[in-house]
Amino acid sequence: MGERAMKRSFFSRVVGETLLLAVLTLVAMGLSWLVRTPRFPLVAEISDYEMDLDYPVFAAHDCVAFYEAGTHLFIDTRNLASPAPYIPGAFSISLDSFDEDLRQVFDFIYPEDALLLYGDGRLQATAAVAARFEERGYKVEGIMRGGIEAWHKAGGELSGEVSP
Amino acid sequence: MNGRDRTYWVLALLIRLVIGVTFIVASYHKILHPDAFAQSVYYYHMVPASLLHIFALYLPWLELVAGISLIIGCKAKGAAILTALMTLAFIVGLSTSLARNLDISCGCFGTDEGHSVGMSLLIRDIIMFGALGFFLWIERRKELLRA
Repeated sequence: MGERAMKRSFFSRVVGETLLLAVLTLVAMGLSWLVRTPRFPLVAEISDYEMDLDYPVFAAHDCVAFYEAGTHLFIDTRNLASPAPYIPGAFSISLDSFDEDLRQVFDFIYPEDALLLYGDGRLQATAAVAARFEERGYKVEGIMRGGIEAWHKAGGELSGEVSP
Repeated sequence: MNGRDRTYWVLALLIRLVIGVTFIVASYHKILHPDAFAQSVYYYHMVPASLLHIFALYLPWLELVAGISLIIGCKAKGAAILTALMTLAFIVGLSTSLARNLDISCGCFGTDEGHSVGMSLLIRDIIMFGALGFFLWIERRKELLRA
């Protein structure tokens, strides 16, 4: 076999292998996507990501790591009418009663604290509370994506009452 | 097999193993947490929004399949091309982020929020890209010698 033919044969074999692996990957990805619940949406809700430009959005498992490291102060932004599970040690400050809630915990939150906000999964609502914090000179480190449910699924601790 | 070919053979094996393991480790958290990976990818502003999630789902599996293929030596040349293409994409992503002064996590290993985009990562990827090119050159040389 001539050198040119050898080159062509080597090249076509490499391309063949590459395509085969790419297709195999597609099958593996598809099966994994079908089996895993909840299914990761195939189309991104880009407004979730655009929010990141103002406040970084952290995945729940990252927040669990922050919590375990004790580096962040967690703020529950939900406006709860009835008792619901919450992250132990989190302060409850919602948008509707922001000033009143903040007054109650004023002695426990310092401007230099790294605040991590979470809610019911609606990032815009949580970001609105984050904006209020920043107006008051607090440092918002980020928002947890998925809210309390994502936290629970990521193996985060939960308690029955929101503090304080 | 002469001494030089034996050295090449050992080098090719080392490249396959080291890069294979690196890609498998890199894929692990990304497969488990596609949301976090999509977040990292979004920060680069290089993937269109409509493809962000598909990309975040597909790339980690491609890393895993290519990594396994490199380690076991089955379709290793194809795997080397795929890993080289991925590494090239990482190099482009890191370079443009550095040029734009983006202070973001590289997302290379899924949840490494401590690894910011920087020159050391870029150099690591360039070395990997070179190593993969060298591996393919050795493979081609082997075939020529066999013929």
